[in-house]
Amino acid sequence: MENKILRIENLNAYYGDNHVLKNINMEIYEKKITAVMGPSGCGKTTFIRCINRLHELTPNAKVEGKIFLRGKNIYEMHPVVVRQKIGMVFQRPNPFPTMSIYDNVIAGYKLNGIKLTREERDKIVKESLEKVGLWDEVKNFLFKRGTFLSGGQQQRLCIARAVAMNPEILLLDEPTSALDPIATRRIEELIVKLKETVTILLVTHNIAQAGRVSDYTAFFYMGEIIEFGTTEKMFTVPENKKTEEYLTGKFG
Amino acid sequence: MRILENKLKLLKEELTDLVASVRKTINDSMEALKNRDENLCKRIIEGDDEIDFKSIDLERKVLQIIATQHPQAEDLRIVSSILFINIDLERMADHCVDIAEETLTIVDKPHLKPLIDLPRMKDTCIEMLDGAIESFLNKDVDLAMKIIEKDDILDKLNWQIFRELLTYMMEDPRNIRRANALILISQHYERIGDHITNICERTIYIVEGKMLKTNPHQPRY
Repeated sequence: MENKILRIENLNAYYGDNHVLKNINMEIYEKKITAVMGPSGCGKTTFIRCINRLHELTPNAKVEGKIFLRGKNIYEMHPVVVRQKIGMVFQRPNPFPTMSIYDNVIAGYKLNGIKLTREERDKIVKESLEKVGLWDEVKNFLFKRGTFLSGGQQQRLCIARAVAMNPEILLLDEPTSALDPIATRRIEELIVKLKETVTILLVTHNIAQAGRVSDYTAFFYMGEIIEFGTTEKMFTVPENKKTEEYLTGKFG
Repeated sequence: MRILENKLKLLKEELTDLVASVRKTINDSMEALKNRDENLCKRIIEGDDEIDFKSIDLERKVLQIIATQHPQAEDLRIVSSILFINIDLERMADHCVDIAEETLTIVDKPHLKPLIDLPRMKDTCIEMLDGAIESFLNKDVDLAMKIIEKDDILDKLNWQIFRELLTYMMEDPRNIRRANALILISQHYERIGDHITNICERTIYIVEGKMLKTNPHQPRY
């Protein structure tokens, strides 16, 4: 049986009076890809924003419950430490526009005031860009701006930026929704490769993508987990009628 | 490597494993008959459960790939072919069980005549199965066509065995039970050959996209 790296206990999240996540209990397996799918507004993005403590930054937002990373409650840890261990990549590629490709990769270290020698920096940049399959494409113009790259390359740069911090968990919030099919396929292959070193939580409204890349899938509906299990089982014989209806396109 | 490519590789490995089990059962079925080995007959019958499990597992994996990976074009032709080949293999194993059950009915009596053509049928089946799987894995249409032609050998041997055993039965009605068992066994090997040609037809489908049925019915007389 696989190790569990993250345990979510009785998680509730609110925007003002709006109760958006209702009593979520779930465990995430280490070095596996877990997809979170569900119709718009079901709470999937809020869910992963709770996991690296971004949700609480929204005005009027509130979180209750516990999330244990290797047994330690992340709500009792410093948020900056949490975000180092749990990296995040967003829907739209968002490299820092004023920074070069090189600086974008090590931005996490810079912003956290972690000092690195020139050699360390070079090594991290090279390794991170290699991990996301971008090194060969950009090695000759590392000091050009990140925004100079194509959308798919920018998104891989953002993943490199997250990976550079050696996170334990990588949260991907619809990482391909702004990309064309070829760039999407490259990102999907990259995600599958990355699970050798990092646990991945992937939020997607793209059912097919959840099927293609993930090992486990959680189906969210109206702020609740309807079903959680192996992707292969859920996509062939889901246990819940709602999941069946969602997968077959009868609602959502 | 493409995500699907990796999954297809594993699927083919599992298919090859199932082929190895079925191949062994075909060989065992003839050993049991030749040596009138009651224990081996029983082992073949019991061992069919394991082949069924493997076959169910393979079917489940194929369906999971269709559901999660949405294979298209050649990928789809390969995945769907594995599903059909799986059924053919499972049926071949069932024929071996039938052979073992038939053998059990005559195991207590000496052979009616030395077994010559039946072992040849079995050898042809094994040769065809190996070639069919090789043609499938290597997408080798020429080899597939050659294997399909070999099915004629089985048809002819089957017919020859039937005619020969008919004379034994006419000669002495006490031979009927044993002769009839051998005729049925021969028919099972002939059917195994048909399943193997199905595998070859799948190779042709994968490479050329043509769905064809080879070996149209030929009159025996």
